[in-house]
This record gives sequence, structure tokens and C-alpha cells, in this order.
Amino acid sequence: MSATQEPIRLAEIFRFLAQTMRYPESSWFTDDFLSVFKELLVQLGHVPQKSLPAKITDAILEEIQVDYTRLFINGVPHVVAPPYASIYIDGTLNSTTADKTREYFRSHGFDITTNEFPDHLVTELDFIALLEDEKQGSSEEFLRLYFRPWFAQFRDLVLAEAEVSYLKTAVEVIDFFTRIETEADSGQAA
Amino acid sequence: MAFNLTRRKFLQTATLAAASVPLANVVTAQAGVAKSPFTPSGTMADKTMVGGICEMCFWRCQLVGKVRGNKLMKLEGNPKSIDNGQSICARGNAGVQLLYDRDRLKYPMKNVGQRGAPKWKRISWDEALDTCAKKLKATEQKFGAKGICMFPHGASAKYPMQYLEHTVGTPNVSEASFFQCRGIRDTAFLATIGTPPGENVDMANAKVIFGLGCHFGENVHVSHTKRYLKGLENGAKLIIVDPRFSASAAKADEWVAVKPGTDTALMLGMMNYIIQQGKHNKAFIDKHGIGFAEFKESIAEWTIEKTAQTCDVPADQIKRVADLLADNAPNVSIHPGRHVSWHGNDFQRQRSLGCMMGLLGAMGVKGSFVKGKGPKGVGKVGWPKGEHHVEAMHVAAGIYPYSPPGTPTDLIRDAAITGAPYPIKSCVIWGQNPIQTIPNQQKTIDMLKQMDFVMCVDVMPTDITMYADILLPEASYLERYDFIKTGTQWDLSGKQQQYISARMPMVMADFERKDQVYITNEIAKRMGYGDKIPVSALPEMVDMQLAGAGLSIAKLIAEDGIHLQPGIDPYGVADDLLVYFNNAEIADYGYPASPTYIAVEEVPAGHFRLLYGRSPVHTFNRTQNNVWLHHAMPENPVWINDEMAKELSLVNGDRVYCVNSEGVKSRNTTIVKVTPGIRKDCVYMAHGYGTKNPAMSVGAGAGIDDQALITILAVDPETGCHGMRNNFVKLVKA
Ligand code: SF4
Repeated sequence: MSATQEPIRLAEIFRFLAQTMRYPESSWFTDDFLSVFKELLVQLGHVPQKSLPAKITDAILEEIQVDYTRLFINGVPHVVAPPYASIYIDGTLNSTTADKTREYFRSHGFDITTNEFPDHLVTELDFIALLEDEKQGSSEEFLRLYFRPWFAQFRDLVLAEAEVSYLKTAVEVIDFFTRIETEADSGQAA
Repeated sequence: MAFNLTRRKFLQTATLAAASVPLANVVTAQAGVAKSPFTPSGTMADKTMVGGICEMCFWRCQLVGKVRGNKLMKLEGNPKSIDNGQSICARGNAGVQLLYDRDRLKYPMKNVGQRGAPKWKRISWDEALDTCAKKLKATEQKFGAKGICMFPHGASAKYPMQYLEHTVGTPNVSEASFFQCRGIRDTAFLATIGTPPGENVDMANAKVIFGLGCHFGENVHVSHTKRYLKGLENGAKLIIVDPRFSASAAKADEWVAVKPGTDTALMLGMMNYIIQQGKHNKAFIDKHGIGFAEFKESIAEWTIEKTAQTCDVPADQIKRVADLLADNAPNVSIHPGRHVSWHGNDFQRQRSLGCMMGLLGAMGVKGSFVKGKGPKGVGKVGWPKGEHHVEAMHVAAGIYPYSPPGTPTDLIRDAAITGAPYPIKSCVIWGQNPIQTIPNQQKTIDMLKQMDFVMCVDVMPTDITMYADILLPEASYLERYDFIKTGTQWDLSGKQQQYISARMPMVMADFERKDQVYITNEIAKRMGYGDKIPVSALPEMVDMQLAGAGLSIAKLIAEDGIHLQPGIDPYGVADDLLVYFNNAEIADYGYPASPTYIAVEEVPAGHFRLLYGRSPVHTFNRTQNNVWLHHAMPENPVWINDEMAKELSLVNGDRVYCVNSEGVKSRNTTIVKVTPGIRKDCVYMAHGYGTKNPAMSVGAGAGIDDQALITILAVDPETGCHGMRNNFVKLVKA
């Protein structure tokens, strides 16, 4: 069995999802990356939409970068969907929500390593991946208490406002993997 | 898009076999979270960081920061401070909010849209620095260093400003703090008493405090306010000359509601009266005065009657005020003011204030103009001067002989727009928002539109950043080393002490924010000036400066951020002090040698003169997006006289636009404040509201941007500085 045929681990998926929401740069936002992304969609039951690029060109990369900047960093008239929990929970950046998030990391034996805020979407996905690495399913509490309460609002803003379909799709995939599944969901699909 | 399966199902069935590479291979980034020792909740230790120096305004109070993790929780005055002490003002406290403002710039960005209608793309620092250096170098090679101009502000702009001025060699640098603020004061006092005055009046020990347009309490600078309040507490009489019943006027013994623009006439009338009464300080004038006879003759026309008529102030009040000053001289604080770029006749007014000090001998004695004697030895570190010296435009043209350092703003704007006397094609804007600091916004926009390159370095997306090609995010004053603050105890009559402190970071910079030394050095290297770099990093610069005083960052930290040493009695008058009542050198340049009143344009019918000032909870436009401060004063009500309001059928709280006499309408509205506490010929609002950049999500649309209404340009002939109170508005109900 080749590496690609092994069952996929949830931790790996979260690590990948974190990558999808990093600022796209030519060093990693490549045709290979896109191929994995599209294949993931296929496995989720979707034929990749035509609106996703066939190949990454400089122009396509720039289009995604500009949309990413407008949505998440500095937009006109203003940032559409700041990717920070604090904004949605407390209305400000780096608020008590960010503090509590970091406390949660630390109380589980982890801490932030970059100068991003702890409640950034990518940081939270990185953390979820690490929890899942340790034990599959162990991120559920964090998802329920910390991630989902803000992510749903964030998702709606991106879906309503993003111009490039890659970012919309990535957010939808994150939504799928972070959703809290009920017993009924699991039973039905099993 | 809906996914009609569950995660469990997906994990059971999915493979990514069809992808070109394995999943893990395309995940290249280092995770933002890693294993670390297990730490129970609530155990993150708090630290007190010393060495903070506030820069929510220019006063630079000494701070400590309460920090948890790398998060600043609270700022307080440094208990060791003999300047501001433990006190900081509302803005100082709100520095925490600036640090974590959601709209703050985080990464370098490139404008892939238009100047003024930007479309931003995050780029790497390398790309940003390469672009800045390449564009600036291209301008330098094609047009010479003078083809580059700079608009700097604040402590962080000093290092890059020196690089461009000294090493690259452009004289085209214009600081708002000079040309739209205090430059006139400094050069006028230099030409009168031989020194720029700062705000060095010993108000705490004065018998009378005299403020011309000073609105203490609305402008808050902690140790300065302490001096003022201590003086009042000790029984000083307060005289406030202001068309408006300001916070200071409310405490005053005499509120002189002068007609705007006629202040110089008022000063001349009072000085003439004091001389006529024989109440001037003859001994002081004999010893230190130059040209007193000519001065006396020159102001003799300013009888009480003429002064009263010109200034629209009762004759009796002019006499009362003049007597109060003379009878309490020399222990009188004649405040030199700070923001003095009012009417384009300001050099003469500032000279008259210096002459009043001389006339009363109110210098060097308790309660008068006294400069504290601060510590010596702090070294200077700077960029070396290049070989090519280009004369500034005003020097080459023989105009504005009393210009403050730099080049008068309009010479730069005009040269850029017209190409004469030479083209200016690159613009560096560092910490300043020229859209809201310089009058006639359209002219600033026209200047920027014709540039080959515009770069901005700032902490916030201010209006001017909309016109940048490259926008760089800067570490704030809470995230870097730099400014060395020295001085003495705030009460000059107290125990004589001196202090030396240096700005130290309270927290490390988040995201990709960088400091001025990094940014400047990287650009310099790429422009071929790498061999001229004076320091490799900010802490090195601070240590080199401190070494001159036998100190270092480490020593300062060990001393809780502030080094104290015995001080020197500041009182006494130097034998060689000269007060130029009449200054022949000024006449040589073709301007009045003795202070002279130059009338300003009358208010056109149906209009009001637009006056502006400070709010205690804002530092002009710099703090308008700060949500804490915004809550304290969300917009800038326009004050209007109650009788005039009645004529216009306006009541308190009505919402209005302002339209100026050239037809420019304010973008936003504000509320009306109806009050008998303002003259009938003017309206007033706090300056620095209503940013037009929607990226400032708190400040945008909040209040009226008064600078947008200041379109008629007045330029002070001696200094080249702007006068910004010669515009006239109507109020139109929204
Ligand atoms: S007066 Fe206020 S804003 Fe200005 S430096 Fe002091 S604390 Fe900061």
C-alpha cells in the first residue's frame, strides 16, 4: 500500500486545513497542493467545481492573495472576516477569549510558538491537529467550547463575501470537519 | 456546498490515492502551537515591565506595564517618575487598546489598485523592502536626492528622517509638528529671547498664569497639567484669552473673549498700556533688552481704545488684565503656547509673547519662564552627512527666513505638483497622516497622485495610507526601544533632581511589525548606503546614547526604568540673556522688527470663523480609532453661540454638516452644542475626527474632519508655516 492509500488520519486533515487558511504563497500554494485539495473534495462526495483553478499561475495566486488580504487582513472598506475568535465573541482583538484559548492550550501541555494571536483560525486548527495526534477525538471539547461558537459566524461572512471560490470551499471543508456530530448523525451514516 | 456524509464515514472510506502527492507533503508550514510544559489554568504569571514611555501624545510620560504572557493588560505611571509620577491620562491608559486595535496594520502590503482607491495584497518584507529601495533609488538617480520628500512624525520617524536628510541628502522634509504646529513659536522665541521656549513656564509657583489660546484641561500633558493645577491650588490668578469659554476659561479670573486673529493687537495694547503706566521692569530691560526704545515707539499707536475696538474686548478688561500682569510681575507665567499655527500672522504674535516676558522681567524667577536644568551626557547617534548638500527651496529662494527645520510644506507640495523648481517624485510618509494634518487636502492628494512612488509606515490605516503603493506595519511605542527622555522634577521649586529614562518595550511586536531601525537599515542597504548604517538594531542605539551618561539599558532596568540623580537650581537669569524687543535682523529680511499686528480677513456674511482645538481624550487624529477613547468622546460637537443658534433655528443636539466659504461640505455630520460660551463670529470643534478611511472601523464617519474644511491657505510670511483658522463655515441641518 502506498502512502497515499493509507487511511487518512484526522490529525493530518486538520494540519492540512490549517495550511489552507494560511496566506497563500508560491512556496506552498502549488499544483500539488491544489491536487490534494481537489481530491479531498472528491472524497467528500464532490466533483471539484470548475471555479477552482486548473493550475496555479502567478495571476491566479495574486487574485487569491488579494481576496485573502481583503477578507482577513486589510480590506476596503474594511476587513470582512477577521479570523480571530475574540472579534466574534468579545468584539475586540486579543481579548479575554484569546487569553482563555491560550490557557486551554497550556492546560493541555501546549503553547503558541509564533507571534500570531492564540485565537487565530490557523492557530486553533494547528492545536486541534496536535490534540488529534495524541488521541483521535480528543479535540471535541475544544471544538465545542472554543472553536464552533465563533467559526460559524466567520464561515457565513466568508461564504457571503469571498470572491475566489478556493477560500469559500476551504471554509466549507473546515466547517465539515469541525462540526459537532450528534449520535443521530453518526448512527444514520454508519 | 453540502457534504452528505459524516466525518466517521469519511474517515472509514476516504483515501487520497488519486492526489498527485501525499497529504502530509503539501503541509509545509511550521505549526503555530507546540508541546510545552503542562500549565494549569490561571497560573500564568504577571510581570511588571519597567521603562515604558508613552507616545499616545508627544509629552512622553513614564510608564510601567502589567504583562501576562506576551499580553499587555494595563499601563500605569512609573511610581519612580518625578515627572508624571503615577499619573497617566485617559489616552495613556488607552495605549493598551492601540496595541490590540483590530484595524492595526499587521503585515507589509502592496497596493494593486489605485492610489486613493487601494486594493491591498499582503507581501513579504523582502518584497516590500526591495520595492521601496528600488523605487527610491530610481528617483534619486533620475532627479537627485531632492526628488524624494518625506512627511515624518513621532519618535520612530527620527531615524529614517536623518537617513533621508543627512545621508541620501534631501532637504524636502516637512514635519507637521513644526509647520502645522509649534515651529513658529520656536523660531519666534529664538528671534526674541534666544531660545525655543518649549512649555517651560513655572506655573506651579506663579502669581499669575496667562494663556493665549491655551486650553489646559482640554489639552492634557500630565506634568504640565500638574504645574498648572498646582499654581491654581496655590492661588495663582488665571487669565485666559480665547474666543471660547474653554475648560481653562471656566477656571479663569479673567476670560478675555478676544476677536479671533487680533491677539497680537491685544498684546501690543497691553504692553503699551504697561509702559505708559511705567509698570514695566526697567532694570531688567536696561540689563537685557535690545531695541526697547524702537519697540516702545512702534507700539505707541496701540492705545487702550484702539485695542479695545480692534479686539472687540472691553477697554476696562484690557486694563485690568495688564495691571494684573504688571502688578504681579515678575512671578508671572506668560505661556508660550504650543499649537500656534493659527492665522498666518503668528510669528509676530509669538514675538509679542516673548516681548511681554521681557517687559515684565518674567524670566528666570519663580513662577515665570524657567527652563529646568536637565542631565547632560546622553549621546547622539545618527546617520552621517553625505557629500552632496542641496539647499532647501526656501533658502535658495531667500524666503521664509525664520522657517523651522525642514522645508515649508507648501513649497514641497507646489514643487511636486508643478515640477518647479524641480520635480519631486517619491514620497515617504512615516507616522504622519498629512491628509488630516495639512490644510487643503486636495492639494496633498494632487501631490501624491503625480508621484512615481509613495510609501507609508504606520501603525494604523490612516487616511494617508490609502494613497500608498507600499504600506509597512510598524512596531508601536509599546513594542520597541527608542526615545531617551531626560528632565527634572515637575515642580521646579521642589527637591532638585534630574532623571534619565529610555523607552523599552512592554511586549514584543505581534504579527510582522518591525521597528524603524530595521526598516531604514534594510532600505539603506538596498540603496547602496549599507556602509553608512550607524547602528544595527534599536537596543544598540539606545545603549550607545545612554553610555554617554554612564548608563545602559541593563542599568536602567535595574533602576526600575528611571535613573535619578541630584539636580541643579534652575532659577536665575544668565548675564548674557538678551531680549530682542526690536530685532533689526528681522527688518533686514523685510519684516517688522518690532512685533506688529497684521489684520486677518473678516468673516464673510452668513459664515462663522472655524476654530478647532484639542480634546482631553484624543490626540488629534492619531487616536480616533481607539475604541476606549472613542467611547469617551465619539464625535466632535460644533459649538455655536446661543443667539446665533436661535437665529438659525438650531437647538442643542441638532445634527449638522459644515460647508465652507469655498463650497466644501463636510463628509460627515456632527451635533450642535449651543452655548453662550463662544463668540458670535466663530464656531469651534475638536480637531482630528472623521477619518475618511473606512478601514478605521471605529473612527470612520464619526464626527467632522475639520481639516477637510480648511481649504483657504494662509502661510506665515516669516516662517512658511500654515495658518489654519482663516476658513469660514456655515452650519447646514442634516
Ligand atoms: S499626557 Fe497622556 S497621552 Fe501624553 S504622554 Fe502622558 S499619559 Fe501619554
